[in-house]
Amino acid sequence: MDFEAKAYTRKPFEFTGKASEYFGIWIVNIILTILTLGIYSAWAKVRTNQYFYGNTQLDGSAFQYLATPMQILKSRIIAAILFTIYYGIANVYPIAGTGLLAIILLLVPAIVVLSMSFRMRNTAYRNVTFGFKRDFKRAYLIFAGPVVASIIIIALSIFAEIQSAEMLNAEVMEEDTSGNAPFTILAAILLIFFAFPFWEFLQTQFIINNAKYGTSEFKFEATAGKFYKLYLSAFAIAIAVGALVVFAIGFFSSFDFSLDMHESAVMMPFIIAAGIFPLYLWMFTYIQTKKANLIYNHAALGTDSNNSAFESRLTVTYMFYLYITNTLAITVSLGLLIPWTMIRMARYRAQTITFLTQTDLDAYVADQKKQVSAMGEEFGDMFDIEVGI
Amino acid sequence: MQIEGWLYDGASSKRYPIYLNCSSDGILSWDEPEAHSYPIGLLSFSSRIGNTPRFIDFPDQFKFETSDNNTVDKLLKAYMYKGHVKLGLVDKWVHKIESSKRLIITSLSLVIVTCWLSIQYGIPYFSKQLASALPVELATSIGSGTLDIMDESLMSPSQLPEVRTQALQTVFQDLLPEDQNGFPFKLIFRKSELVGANAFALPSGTIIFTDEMVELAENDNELKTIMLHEIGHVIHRHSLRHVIQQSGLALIVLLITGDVSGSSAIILAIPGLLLEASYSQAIEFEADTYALTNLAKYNIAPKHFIDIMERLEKSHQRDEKNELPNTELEDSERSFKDYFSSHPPTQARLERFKSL
Repeated sequence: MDFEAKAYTRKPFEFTGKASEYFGIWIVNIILTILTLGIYSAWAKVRTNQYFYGNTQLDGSAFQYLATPMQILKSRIIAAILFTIYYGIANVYPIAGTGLLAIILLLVPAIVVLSMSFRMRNTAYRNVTFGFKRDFKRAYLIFAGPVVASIIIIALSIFAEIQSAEMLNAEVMEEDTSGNAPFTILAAILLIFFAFPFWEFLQTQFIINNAKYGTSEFKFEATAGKFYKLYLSAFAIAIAVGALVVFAIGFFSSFDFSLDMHESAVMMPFIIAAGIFPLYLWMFTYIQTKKANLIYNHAALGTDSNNSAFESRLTVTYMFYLYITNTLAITVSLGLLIPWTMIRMARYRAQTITFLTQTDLDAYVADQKKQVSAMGEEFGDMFDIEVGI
Repeated sequence: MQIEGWLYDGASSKRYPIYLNCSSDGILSWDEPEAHSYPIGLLSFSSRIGNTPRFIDFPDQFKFETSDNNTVDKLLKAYMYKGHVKLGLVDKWVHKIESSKRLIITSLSLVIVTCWLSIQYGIPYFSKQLASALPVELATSIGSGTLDIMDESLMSPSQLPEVRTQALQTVFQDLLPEDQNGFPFKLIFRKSELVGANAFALPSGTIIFTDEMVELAENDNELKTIMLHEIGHVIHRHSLRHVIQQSGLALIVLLITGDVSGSSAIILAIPGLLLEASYSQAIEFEADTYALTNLAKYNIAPKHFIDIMERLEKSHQRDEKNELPNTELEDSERSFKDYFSSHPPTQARLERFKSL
């Protein structure tokens, strides 16, 4: 997008929360949740969200979290009961548990839509709420469609493999076909693998294009190619770094004089793991960070006459540094530094996002206010279904 | 009293910088851009959360946003005193707790103590009660495929002579309690070099002895003590307790940390580990108690249990020759190791049998 030509005004996001202040809220949330046997957890969730939303400011106005504790409590109780039943059944009858899991998986697209709807409807800025169009049909098409397609492709490839193996056996009985790689199945898996970035693009597009601020719609302007570029570069870097790690391990273990042969063979998996784990974490950070930038930098709000955009400037090295130090801090402090890690993450996130607008922020028209149940979100939370971008 | 802030009309995102006038008789009003006034009873005030902006909702979709928390609090206090507004319990008290250093430290110590107590006593106690209250079918149905999995991966058919196993079956039948609580008790034998000398009880009431275990024993009385120990595990429904305990912990962790970011996965594993460790010690202790109380009934000397356990420990130490013998550990190191060991240290367990 050509920012210069359209003469955007830059409005930075700000985060004003403080770790010491939030620690009080956090620890009181925990103790009251314990003392009320979990009931206060609904108030805890609301106060936490209100703290983070209220401290996030754009152009001098704050965001506001609107959901009420009672709304959350009702859905949370139902979700907790369902979770307990599921957990019990899955432990006692593993097979029935698998069946239930399949049913829960079928609900995922609906849960995505309901949670997004709840989350957006309960976020306000300048007394105008966000919203989310509840397009269940398209949600199933986008979230479940590719899964069904993959299952069919794999099934077909296995079928084809069996067929050709039988034909081959019939023609040349003496030839051993078991040594041949199952080429068709491999091709099917590769096909699905290469379709993944496109699937992710479709999901992101679905979520952003259905989001609204008042009556103004968000638009996702990236192409699928950007997602391919992201994964390709992550893959290329991983191979380069991985080769380096393997080389380094080989280099250093050739100086091995402290351990006898037996022990160094035992140690090898640990040495490799020590090399692989940071690489994996770095890959994860790289993809997360680049993806977040990609998504924000291609999200637009409003019509052509009044178009606004975002600029996200997260850097992979700083995010990596944050992940490492946060994990260390939480582990060393036995969890007591969780509030601090949450605050510094939110601060960095806000510091690196700028809203680019062509007019002032006064012209967004509010939508009529509808209530949305918290059930989707609470159910999704209980069963650890990751929603959103 | 006056409060400075933004006014929004609810129709669009337009904002007006205004002063909200608060009269002493409970009327809030503003003059710009249009004059409006409302009695305070019709308004809703957002709860105070740290120093985040306060929102006041008016009828007709108006909303007022201000960072002047202190004036809002003063106002609410004054009007509450006069009876113009009523505040809920949370709005009234929670911010006071959240912002008081002394109460934060109190909360922190309470959290630490309750976490410790519930892991050490609370959860184990409740799962024990619940496990004995549930129908026996539930206890026996846990992990119905476990034996198949063990047969595939760990064990092979027993190579003991038929005469020997038949004799042991008779011994076993005699040891079963009169009230079997509905458990279909069964004794089976398997060979396993991987596991070595050992015996386990499955939730269904099936008890497995390895050939190596039978060969390790010098007489049947020794095997009887082990059988009683395993029957104790089944009668006390230890597997069901384990499942309930894990589910309970999962639910509690979910409730407390439900709103915490995923980066804390490591910290969530710690209570599970602690619970697991103290659980394993508790159930071994209980099964020992069961064996101990029944030994007298069958005229078996407790010495036999001590003998076979000591031999068992030696045979396992031989298997893991890399590990340091217990005696070389420092005291502090040993107690730490004991806490995380799945079985209570054999010597401590055996003391109870020696004192008889």
